[in-house]
Amino acid sequence: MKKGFKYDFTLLQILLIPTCVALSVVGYQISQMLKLPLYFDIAGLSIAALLGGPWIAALTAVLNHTVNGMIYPTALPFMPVSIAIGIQVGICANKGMLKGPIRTAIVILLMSLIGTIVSTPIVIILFGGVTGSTTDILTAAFLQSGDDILNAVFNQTFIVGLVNNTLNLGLAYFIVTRISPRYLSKTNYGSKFIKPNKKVYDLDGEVK
Amino acid sequence: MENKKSLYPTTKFWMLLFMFITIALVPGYKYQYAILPLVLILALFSGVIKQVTLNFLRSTFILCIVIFLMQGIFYPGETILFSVGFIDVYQEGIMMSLSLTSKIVAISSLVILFFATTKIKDIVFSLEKMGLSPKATYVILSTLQIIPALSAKSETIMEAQSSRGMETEGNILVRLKTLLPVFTPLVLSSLEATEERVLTLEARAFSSTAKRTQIYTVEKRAIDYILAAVAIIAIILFFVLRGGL
Amino acid sequence: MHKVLSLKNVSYAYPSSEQNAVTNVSIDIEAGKIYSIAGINGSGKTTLGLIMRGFIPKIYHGQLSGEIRYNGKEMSTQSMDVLCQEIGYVFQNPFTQMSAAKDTVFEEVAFALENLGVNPEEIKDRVTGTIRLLDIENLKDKNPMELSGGQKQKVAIASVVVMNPNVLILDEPTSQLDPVATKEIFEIIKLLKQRGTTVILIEHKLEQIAEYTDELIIMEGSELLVAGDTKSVLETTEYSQSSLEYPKYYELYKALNDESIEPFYTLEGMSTAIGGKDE
Repeated sequence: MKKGFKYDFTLLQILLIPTCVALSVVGYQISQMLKLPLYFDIAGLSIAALLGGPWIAALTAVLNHTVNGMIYPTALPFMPVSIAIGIQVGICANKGMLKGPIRTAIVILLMSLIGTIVSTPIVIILFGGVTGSTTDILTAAFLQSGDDILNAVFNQTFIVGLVNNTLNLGLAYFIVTRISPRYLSKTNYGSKFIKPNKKVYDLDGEVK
Repeated sequence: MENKKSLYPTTKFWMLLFMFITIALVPGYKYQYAILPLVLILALFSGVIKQVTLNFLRSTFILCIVIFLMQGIFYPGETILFSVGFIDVYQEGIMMSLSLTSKIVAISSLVILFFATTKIKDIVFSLEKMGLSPKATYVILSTLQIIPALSAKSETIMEAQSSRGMETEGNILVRLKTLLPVFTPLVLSSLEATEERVLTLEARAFSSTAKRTQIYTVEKRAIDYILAAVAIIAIILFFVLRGGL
Repeated sequence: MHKVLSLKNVSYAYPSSEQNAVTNVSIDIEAGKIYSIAGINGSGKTTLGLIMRGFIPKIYHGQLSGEIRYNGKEMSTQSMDVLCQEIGYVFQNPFTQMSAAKDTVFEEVAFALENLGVNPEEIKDRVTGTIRLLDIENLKDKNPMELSGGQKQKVAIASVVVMNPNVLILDEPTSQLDPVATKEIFEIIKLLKQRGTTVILIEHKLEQIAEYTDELIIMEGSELLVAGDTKSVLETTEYSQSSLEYPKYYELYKALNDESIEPFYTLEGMSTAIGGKDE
């Protein structure tokens, strides 16, 4: 199989970007409607990474933050966090790291670690350690217990990230394995998620 | 066409750049805080005051309040400004908060104003004129069309599911489980739609090698050239007067 | 008559499929007629449409053999730009047929011409002409994503007709529409025929199309079962052995002309009608 930046940008792959950004936005809206304490706001990004690979995921992250930033400008500085996570998940998925619980756990751990490393300096330098969400209570608790701001924010981001990433990646994986094999085989990275012994349908609805 | 003509997007970009540079480099917080009322006045004249205020309150206001609380209480300071019960609020923390929030408020309100008064279509037009590929501009425009369509669809699914007795209340686990029957069909249908859209686009010569033309255009007017020039000169002057970068 | 499309011994299998979706099909499409490719799901009718448009093999890979000519020239030598303008294609799902990048119907219809680099003044003229022809001027400033299914389908047809194609292929264009919108789409198809466009309709419900179509092409199990003018195809034994049903009015027509059927007003005829002969 051909690999590389240009190969990843077929028309079908490009169309993943707007769809996955929209899915992230709608995922966030649904979590709000269901009054969930955690947001499914990177489910779309994870799907982009699993199907489209690292570069499509990176662009999905850029566009996602730009769209959010039009209304919530404070989301803009966190663009690098999503880009990094998108690329990492894309690479891991492509290397077959989502097979089995142990490897998947490593991917989630890596996701949370990378996310925390990129996001902590942004939170501290630009926002004084505050993210504006309810999880700031956690940061305050760490500070109260005597942590300095760096450790407090790092710990908070990592813990929240672990839970959030598990749920988002889990949801993405659950859904991706339910996509029709015909579609999966057309994406550049999706064919790994085809379950064997599943019926294949072509355009005429034929069973192969 | 509209009566009230907007400035060309790049004109606004140069003006914003000047503002961002000064916000970042001018010491203190008074200048930065003075920008918020300016933005609100501009928003009022542009007829977007409601949208700008709402977006500002939602995105920035609460964040800034939390910064004051967190920094005021936990900043390792010496001078106690005042005490509420057993909590001491330090002056150093408040000064730090003023410095941080003044910049956040200024930049955030300017960004909100920019997007509230600029059509994405215009931004995309100017980007394509500067050489961004039609595929990239397609992705941007398409995202903005698909979000409301998908959002409407998710509401339809939610309504359909709750009329079938789906739980939208109850404990966290119940609500978490509710997410699946709503989100899964949404993802599956929208992904399969991309497959058909590929053919639609190919049938409309999207992959054509011809040099693309556009029927929607935004023209630069004299005022755009003047304002852009003023902004660029102001940036240069700012650095000269400040004595280098 | 002039042959616009000509297929000789064409077979095709989708990638990662051992079975042919189309097997050994030979057919000539003559200019200016309305053709209908009919068959049940899985008969290969959509695949045949994709071959006639050149999407197979340009977009879909897989195993293609045989000879496909457009206006006498080998299809594979034609560029995508040329094929876009010569052979229009309208799909089944109205929703996915919007470019999703334009916020007015006028610009949506203009999209293809923009991609082809036509000069903006000419684009405006052609779009205005097309939306007038299809009677959708009232939609021109609406957001295409917010239209009804029937309106979207009309905009989709306009977006292709604006390129002034020689041949127009429509894949089950009315399957998701209500009867009123369906009727309107077929009126548009008739109008296009009058303007000299060769129309190829892909359908599984013969009920609606038999009235409009000049020639029927029946696909069954990836093969071409029978082809010819509508009435003669319906009378063939091949058709009677196919999985397709007869259009209701054709059954009526046959019943009225069938002398072996006992007239209903005789006692024997009534008993036949009620429950068959008691023998």
